[in-house]
Formats: sequence, structure tokens, C-alpha cells
Amino acid sequence: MSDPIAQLIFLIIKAILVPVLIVMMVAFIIFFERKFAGFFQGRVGPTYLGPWGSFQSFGDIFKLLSKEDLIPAKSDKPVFRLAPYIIFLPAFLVMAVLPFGPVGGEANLFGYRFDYVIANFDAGLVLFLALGAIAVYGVVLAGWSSNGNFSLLGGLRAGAQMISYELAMGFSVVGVMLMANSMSLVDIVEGQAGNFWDWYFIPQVVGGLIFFVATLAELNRTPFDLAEAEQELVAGYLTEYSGMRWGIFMFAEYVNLVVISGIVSTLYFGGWRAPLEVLDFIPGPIWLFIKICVFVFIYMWVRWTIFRYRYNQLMSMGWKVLLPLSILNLVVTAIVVSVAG
Amino acid sequence: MGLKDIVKKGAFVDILRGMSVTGTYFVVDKVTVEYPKEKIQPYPRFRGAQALLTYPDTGEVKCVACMLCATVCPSRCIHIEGGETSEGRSYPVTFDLDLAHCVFCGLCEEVCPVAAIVMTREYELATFDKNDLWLTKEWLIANQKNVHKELLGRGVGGDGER
Amino acid sequence: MSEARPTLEELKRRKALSRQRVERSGEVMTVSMGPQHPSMHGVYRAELDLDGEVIVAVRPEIGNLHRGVEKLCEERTYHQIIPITDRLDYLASFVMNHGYCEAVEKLMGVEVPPRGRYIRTLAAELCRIANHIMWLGIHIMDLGTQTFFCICFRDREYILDLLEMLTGARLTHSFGRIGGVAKDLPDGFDRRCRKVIDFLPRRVAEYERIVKHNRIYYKRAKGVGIFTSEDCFAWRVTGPPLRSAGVARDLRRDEPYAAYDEMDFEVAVEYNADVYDRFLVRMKEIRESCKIVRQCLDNLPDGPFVASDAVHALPLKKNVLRDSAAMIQDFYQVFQGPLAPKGEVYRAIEAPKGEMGVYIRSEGGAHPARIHFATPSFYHGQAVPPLVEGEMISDMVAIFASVDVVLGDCDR
Repeated sequence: MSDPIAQLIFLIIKAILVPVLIVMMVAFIIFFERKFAGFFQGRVGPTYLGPWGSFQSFGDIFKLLSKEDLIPAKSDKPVFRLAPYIIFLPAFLVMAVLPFGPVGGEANLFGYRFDYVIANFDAGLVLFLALGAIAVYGVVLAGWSSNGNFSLLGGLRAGAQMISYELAMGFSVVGVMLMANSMSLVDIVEGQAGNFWDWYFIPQVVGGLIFFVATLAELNRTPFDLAEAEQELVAGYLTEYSGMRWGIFMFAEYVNLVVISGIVSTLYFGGWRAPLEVLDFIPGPIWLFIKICVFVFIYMWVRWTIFRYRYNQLMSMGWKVLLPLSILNLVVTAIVVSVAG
Repeated sequence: MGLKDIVKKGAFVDILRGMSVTGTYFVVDKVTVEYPKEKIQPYPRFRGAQALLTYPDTGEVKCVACMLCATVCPSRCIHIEGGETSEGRSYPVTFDLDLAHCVFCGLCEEVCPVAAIVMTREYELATFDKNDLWLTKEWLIANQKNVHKELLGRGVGGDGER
Repeated sequence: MSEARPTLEELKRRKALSRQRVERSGEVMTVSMGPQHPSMHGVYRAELDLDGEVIVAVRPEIGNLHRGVEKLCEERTYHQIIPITDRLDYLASFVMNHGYCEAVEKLMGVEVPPRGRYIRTLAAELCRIANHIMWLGIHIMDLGTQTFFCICFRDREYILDLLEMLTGARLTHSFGRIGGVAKDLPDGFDRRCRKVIDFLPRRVAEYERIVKHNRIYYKRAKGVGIFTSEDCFAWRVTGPPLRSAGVARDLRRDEPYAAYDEMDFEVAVEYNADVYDRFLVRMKEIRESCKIVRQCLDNLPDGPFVASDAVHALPLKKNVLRDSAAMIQDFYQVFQGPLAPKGEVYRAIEAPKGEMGVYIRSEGGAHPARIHFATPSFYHGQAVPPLVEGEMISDMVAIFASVDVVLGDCDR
């Protein structure tokens, strides 16, 4: 078998395996969200289905599939149907550029080289930012096409919030780009070779914190979940969605969560690298999985502790605090990088 | 805002304080009682569904159909038909309690002069059929099994009551 | 935290500043918040006219929980009304019983023995603690996190457990009687109550640790929903909102009833009249209530817990079973009921939500001719338009939670 055909076969395998694994992971993360919500609140979460209630997600999926599919009469039906998928797909596409193991180098699998990334795209980081921006379309279109007061308010709020925080997010990752001298996620992980003190979270501590806060806004999670603020707007842009359509929104939110945890760990915490070089024998994907789990836990912890900002305070924080700080971070990084050579 | 406040704000001290509290809840014991596998025993004064007490030796109801409970009930949910036994003793021919109207206030138990009607521990009264909520004399007598344990063998309405 | 106390002019200026967004022309979007809504406490409906995020007008609508309580009371004797008063503010039932019993005792001239007064104070303060803890949980849940709600409810369970041990029910106590209370303290109550009261202030300190210095709470509650003392007087808003505006009016101190004149406690007062101060007032009130409960347990006098008034009070059960005079009293109280003299009376007490007044007019029979419950939530619900017009929709949720409206209280 020649090398291109082998690469094609590997590509197909990866392209099928990675989304399937992500979907399985998301099903369990939804369960863990509810279980951990219970634990943080001093109660046990779901316990009924399966051992420790772990099949709760599957029960939820069956329940959602069995519900009536209500589409409001005066809504814009094609857009209404399309909106969940506009949020759903970009998250999966980002997984294509996220490396989960060493890329390049010699042949390591049956004599052929197996790259632990689906697409070694040399502008991977920019692709991530761009796809995050497409997700905004889904939210705004969902709110608008539902033709309801609450949905419209929620959709517009969410859209404005996501756009504002994307700026801060973009500027804060440019610091990482400067340090790694590349826009490719593969190269960024290569640049963090060594032990955990070589990872980028130490020099980029300010950028990392800004990125973390900005991704909370991108994910529409507390403290930035005004779009779905249950107490104020019933369910915001999700109000008119029922049954499996709502299920797809929820799914998309958690896939985004996994992907962004992956991005955070890749950019700042070494991606698939082990914290200590002696632990290199444990394969890369396992380390990435562990790091994703840690960050998902931290996102959940933050969600179940903090309450939400008021809308104008949120926007003012995004524009007046995070954006200047991230630009400052960028300038300082640029100066240090150019001085240090 | 002094320097200390700025540093505290930047390091998210207050938010971390809140997260430390939820973090501790993550690991300590949970307070959930997993109903229906585990059930909490109500206190002796708990006012559940009623029961009509009978004399242990003869099996007759203690109730003398004096109508005090039916009169005091704020929801007017007790319906009694009185009659006389052959020995000349008053007794309720029918004693119906409409559980759909009962507010479980306990006034019927409080005013009964012969301590015939008591409130029990029974609170699992949900049913699919509304007719089940019309409690008859037989049901109330059979409900004696749910009478609070502290009541039995101590004389109802004794000193200190329950 | 507290700088110089702001004067009334200063508060009015701050209020005008935070609400200057109202003067805008443009289309308004009408949104109906309620009656089914996760944050409207009960079935309160507020029709909002929104201009973007700013509330231009509010049209509140109550009555979805109206059960005709005052009419029901006209056909029942004074003893039978007690379970009905439970269902007014069902989160602090005993306090409603207590207010009603105080009014009836004033009308009939019944004196409550000392032990009965102390037990009433104890139960009322336990209800106040439960209410304030639950208020905190609901307030923070409205701001966004459910965790706090679960934590507060877990602590409220300890109080409800105590109340179940004492009265027989967790929520609808029906514990007050004309002339005293229904039953004495059970065995083991003293020890258990002390245990709960000992660790509750630590819990309150924990809540304050999470909430009081939290930057997000600061932003959402400081300077939001300013309701000056002038506004409170104009709209008959009492209780914690009034005390957070600097007016030290607490009926437990000003017109003492039950055993409050023998208790040593402070009235919680703050001066900034915003949501943050209402939170501080309620936390302080929880601590003071713990103090009062401890004093009640320490100084509980011996003696009867209900007046032995044959004309107006129910007899003790143990006497009914043995004594014919008590049995006659029992029959008299049930079949005829206590007769009230002709006249009218108004008595107000300090419920956890505000000032609750009971007005009874009697034509001399066994049923009251007219009862009116002047419940605090009715007036607070009425005061929502001046409170929130000009604020943003997210603030409305926070402000509405801070004035503590319960629909059972509001609609009767």
C-alpha cells in the first residue's frame, strides 16, 4: 500500500472516530454536569438509571425524541429548522485541527506515519476564531426566527455578547501566537515542549485568564448566560424549541464546551504533552483527555458557584476591561518576544 | 481603590472564596434522602391521615358520634350518621371523611372527647382514582396500623401529650 | 462598608441617577412576566413595557391566588379560622396564626399566660429565621445560581424539622390558639433547638462570605432599587425594605406583643435603601432571631401554655377526657364557639415580610362580621411600579425578590 492511500485510510478512520468519541463523551458530560451540580449543592444528582445514574443522558435522549415537534405558526420555518445546526457544526469542525498526539516525524504505525490530527492546517487558530463567529449566526437566527418577544430579546443579547467577547478572545490568543511564532495549533503544542513550567500559561497568565473569561461568554455559561437566563427570560432564544431540536442546542453547547476545553489546554497547558518528561510513555491522547476533563470540571465549578452579571455590566466589562487588558497583554508580549529574540 | 483591592480583584479572591465553599460541598456528605428507598420517620406530632381507634378487647369503635369533629372541621369534610347499638350505646353507623377537602389541621383530634379520632403517620395518600379519597369507616379503622408509635400504650391526651 | 449615612436628599439624587434612562421615545415592546414564571414568587403577573432593556411602564396584576379567605372567615367560628390563617403567608404560618390570635385576644379581652407568650415568641422567631433563609436562597437563585438555593433550603430543613417536632406540620402550623398555643414543648426539643441555634450564625457567616463581598453581587445590588423612606411611607411598605431605608420601625420594639418586651435584641437598620442593604438587614435579623430564641429557651417560665378561660379558649385534652367541666367547655367551644363582644379591633404584628395587621369587626356573635388581613405582600406588590419603572429588566428580578412578595399573602 502506498503512503497516500494509507494516509487516506487513516484520515477516514480519524474523521469517523473522533466525532463518535466526542459524542459519547458529551453524553456522559451532560450526565456529569447534573451529577456535579448535585454535589456542589450538597445533594446527589440523578441516581436512578444505571449505576450511579450514569445512563441518565440516554434516558434524556429518548425522552426528547418522543416529544412532539412544535414549530410556532408564525415563525420563519426554514430558518427555525436550520438554526440549531448552524451552532452544532462549527464545534465539530474545530476538532479537525486540534492535535491530540505527536504530528510529523517517522513512521509509527505499521510502517506508515500516523498523524494525531485530522487536518494539519497551518492557520488552525484562526479557523477556531472564525468558526466561533459563525456560531453567533445560529444564536441570533434562532432567536429571530422564533417570532416571540422573549426569544428575540435573548437572541439579540446573546449575539451582542458573543461578538464583544470574541474580540477579547482573539487578542488574548495572539500572545500565544507570538510566543509560538505560528498560527497552527500543532506548532503551538510543539513550542511547549518540555515540562509543565515550559507551558504557556506561566508567561501568558494574564492572557490565559482573559481567554478563560471570554470563553465563558462564548459558551453562554454563567456568569454570562443572560441569553438563557431562566429567571428573566424563560429560556431566551431557546424558548420556542422543544423536543429534539432543543436537544441539539444542548448538545451543541456541550460539544462547544469540550472543544473549548481542548483549545484552552492546547494553547496554554501543553495540549497532548505530559507535565513531566518522565511521564512521556503515556500516550498523548490520554493526556489531552485528562486535561479536557479537568477544564470541563472547572467550567462546571464556576457555573454552579457564581451568579450572573446584568447585561450592561457584562458588555461594559467586555469592552472596557477585557479588551484593553488583552491588547496590553499583546503589546507586552510583543515587546518581550522581540527583545528576547 | 487601593493596591490591595486591585490585586484582590485581579486574582478573583471573592470568586475563589465562593468556589471554595461549593468545593467543600462537593466532598462532604450529601443530605439527600433517597425516597422511596429511604424514608424519614415523621415526628410524633405529625398530622397525617386520620384513624378511628377501637377498643382492643371488643373491637368496637370508641367513637360515640357526638359530632364534635364534624362541627369543628373548618373544611366540613367529616360526615357522620349516628345510631344506637342494641345496648343503647351511641355509635357512628357511617363515618365518612373526605380527604380531598381535609386540610390536616388536627382540630378534629383536638376536640374529640373520647380520643377516638387521631392523626397518624400516613402521608403517602396520592392516588390515581379520586374515589379513593373518600375515606370510609372501615378504612379509618384499618388505618390504626399507622398510628404514631409513641401514642400506643401511653393513653391519648395524657400529660405532655405528644 | 458603610460610609457616612446618606441623607434623604442624597438617596433621592442617587435614585434619579440610576433611573435617568426612562426619558426616551420610541416603540415599546410589551412583555408579560407571569403569571407562570420561574422567578415571580407565585402567580404574580407584571405586564412590562420595555424599551430595549429598560422598563418604561409596569402594570401589575394580582388575584390569581385569591381564595376568598376573608369571606370564608365570616362563616366560621374564631377557632375554625386558625387553619385558614395558616394559608396566608404559608412560608411563616405560625406568624399569621399569631397575628390573628393577638387580634382576637384584644377583642375578647383574653390574657395569655407567660409560658404561652414565650412559646409564641419562640415559634415566631423560628418562622422568621426560616423565612429569611428561604428569601436569601430565592433572591440569589433569581440572580442566577441554583446552588445557593439548594444550600439555603438545606439549612431551612433544620428549622422546618424543629417546627414539625413542635407543631406537627412543616408548613401549615395551625399552632396558635386563642389564649396561647396548642401544645407544650415536646421532650428533647430544648436540646435540639439549642443545637440548631448554635450553628445557624456560622451558616449565616458562610452565606455572607459568598455573597456579601462578591463583586457580582455588589454590582447587581448596590445602588439598585432605591426606595427612600418617603416612598415607603407613601406606599405603606414596611418590614425590611423600610428598615433598610433608615427608619427604625419594628413592631416588636414599638408595640410589643407576646414576650418581646422581655427580650433583649437589636433592630436591624441600614441606610442606603437599596437591594444590598435589604440583604444586610435580613442577615442581621436572622442573628437577632437566634438570640431571641436562645433567650426564650433560657428563661422559659413554668405554668400553663394556654389561658384557662372557659368562655373563650379550648380546654386541654387531658382534662376533657377526665373532667366533666372541661368536656362541657369543649362542647360549648365547638358547637357555639367563643362569643366576641360587639366592636372592632385592629392589631398589627411584625411578620417576617413586613407589618401584618388584622382587623376584626364583630356584631356580637360567634362568627366575625368582617375580618380583614392587611398583609405586607399586598402593599409591596402594589409598590412595584414606582420601584422598578426606569430600571432594567434584570434589575426588576432582583428588586422584586428583595421586597419579598408571596402571593398567598398578597391575594389572600
